[in-house]
Amino acid sequence: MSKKLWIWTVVFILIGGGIMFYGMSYNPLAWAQGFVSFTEPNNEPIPWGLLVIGYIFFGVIGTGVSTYNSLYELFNKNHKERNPFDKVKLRNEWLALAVLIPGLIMVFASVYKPASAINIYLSFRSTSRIAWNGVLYVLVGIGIIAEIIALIGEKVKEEGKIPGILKLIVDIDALIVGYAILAELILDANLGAVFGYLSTWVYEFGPFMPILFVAASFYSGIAMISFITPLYSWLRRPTSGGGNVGPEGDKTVFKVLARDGLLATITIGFLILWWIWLTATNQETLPWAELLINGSWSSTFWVGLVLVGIIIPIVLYSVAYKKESKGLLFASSIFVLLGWFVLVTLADVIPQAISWYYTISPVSPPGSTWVYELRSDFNGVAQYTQLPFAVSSYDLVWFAGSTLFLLGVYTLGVLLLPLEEEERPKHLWIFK
Amino acid sequence: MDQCLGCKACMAACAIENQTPFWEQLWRTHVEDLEIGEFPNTQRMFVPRLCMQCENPPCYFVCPTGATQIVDGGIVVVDEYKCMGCLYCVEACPYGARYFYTYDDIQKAKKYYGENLIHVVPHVDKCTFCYGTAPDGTNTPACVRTCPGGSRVFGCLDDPNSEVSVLVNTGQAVVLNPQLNTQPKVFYVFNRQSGRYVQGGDNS
Repeated sequence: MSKKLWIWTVVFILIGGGIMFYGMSYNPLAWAQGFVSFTEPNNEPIPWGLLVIGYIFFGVIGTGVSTYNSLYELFNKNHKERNPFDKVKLRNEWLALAVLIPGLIMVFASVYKPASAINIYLSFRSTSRIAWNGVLYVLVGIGIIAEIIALIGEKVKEEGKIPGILKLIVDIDALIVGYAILAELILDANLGAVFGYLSTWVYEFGPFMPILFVAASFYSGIAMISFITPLYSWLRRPTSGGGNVGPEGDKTVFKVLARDGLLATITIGFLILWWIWLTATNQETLPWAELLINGSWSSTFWVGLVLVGIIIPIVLYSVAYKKESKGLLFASSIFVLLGWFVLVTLADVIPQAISWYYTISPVSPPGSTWVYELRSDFNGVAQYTQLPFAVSSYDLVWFAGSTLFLLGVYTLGVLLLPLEEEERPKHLWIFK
Repeated sequence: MDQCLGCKACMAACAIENQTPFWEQLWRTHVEDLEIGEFPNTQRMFVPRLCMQCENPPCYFVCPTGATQIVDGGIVVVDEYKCMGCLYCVEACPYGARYFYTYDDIQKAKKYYGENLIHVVPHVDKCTFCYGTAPDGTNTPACVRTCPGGSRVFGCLDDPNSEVSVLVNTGQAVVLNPQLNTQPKVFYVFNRQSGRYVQGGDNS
């Protein structure tokens, strides 16, 4: 098994890394400074495309996995037997970090000059949501890594030979977990705020977006754990305990995941309902709502989000909860992850999808509106113009490369770290 | 607005002065060619557009790297070396005044402008009122110097006797999208006739 896993790990790291190397035009230094031709196109009507969608997709899943896992850890700190995830918490935390990695890669790939991102820290501008993203990503990364070290440190402590610094980290474990939860929730809210802060975009998207993204972190994070945990239950040999935590323990885990997944999906459904309702009943924002309700994005919205992302998961999670079925839980998680991808796509595209229109009092009586776009001749055009969304080949290369890279990075952690209950750290405190 | 001929000399002057990527139809200033109203009550209008040099510039507030800066006179400029190309400012500008100047644009600029390039690293580009490139002592942008119809007026808003101050203080000059509270420093003097045409036909 270990040999196959090593092959899997090396192959996916090489494939994903190779694709990303191609995305750098085989010249990482030039790419980092923007001196390559194969890059983001600068003439897309919707500038923020697949890579922005991708980094939010993975970023929110990663933080969601950690937040959900850490909340159970924190609130059951003194009663570990009450934490259904106690025996898989370390694996979940590694999953969170691994999922964040493609998100981070796509953050850098989505800008023209990744090396210049250092200026976020050298000349920080506190009014910029992206500047805060830069800080929060670091804080969240530190939090998750510290939590992983602390959880592994607990195992070392049980054997009674814990080094000084590791002992300190284990002693402040609860503080680290609480810090990680706080940083993750603020990062999720801030990611949402990126899509609601701009004066060019409709105002109703503003404060709503952080709330939506915090809820979505639970929605997508629980789905990711619900995807991985049944997989382990199927793949792991009976000799290692029959799944994750033994047959009965597994059932409890699946039931808790189905219950929490159901609650998170209902929350997202509730928020989406109000998003559409309020947007559609305000004359200023109606054009954006129409895009979703009966416009060009309506099939994506109704089928991709409402049906696949909300209604089907609610049904499947409910039955999975009732029957304690890992198969249905697994199926629910796939639908939710698809729905989350659609949701973040809509959250990214819809605010950008209609050109801003001007009303200039001296020349704009009722019924006449000027339309402004960067490149068009404006004659005979409608009140506003819908802008087309396109996925560039550069975006596709980086999205595919970083996602394949994730498959290798995740199993690399499985191979090197003592993520399972029966595994013990031996080398450099934390490695197997 | 009456005096704009739609000749686009301002665009040509700006492109030469600031080496903008005209080969991609990207401009620091351009002229919108509008037809307003419905036949027979129509009118053609030319609307010069450029960065509004806002007093509260959304592009400045969203810039994560500090590349967008406000210099003397309230002119909004971009530090090309600090810009990382996240396009947050492009998204934030309600006037669509920004675009990205790519590596390929730099290579093409060498063909048109020779080795004496203004832009040497990729960055978000925008109108700077020809900050640093206007002839000594004039501070006047290339578009203003070139405009054959005298459509563009450039001056100091702090000087109550300047032509722009008179136009603004007497209410003849207005800003686009005042409700956004970006407080632009570019103003427009509109043709009174256009208001009558588009309102439905009282041309008497």
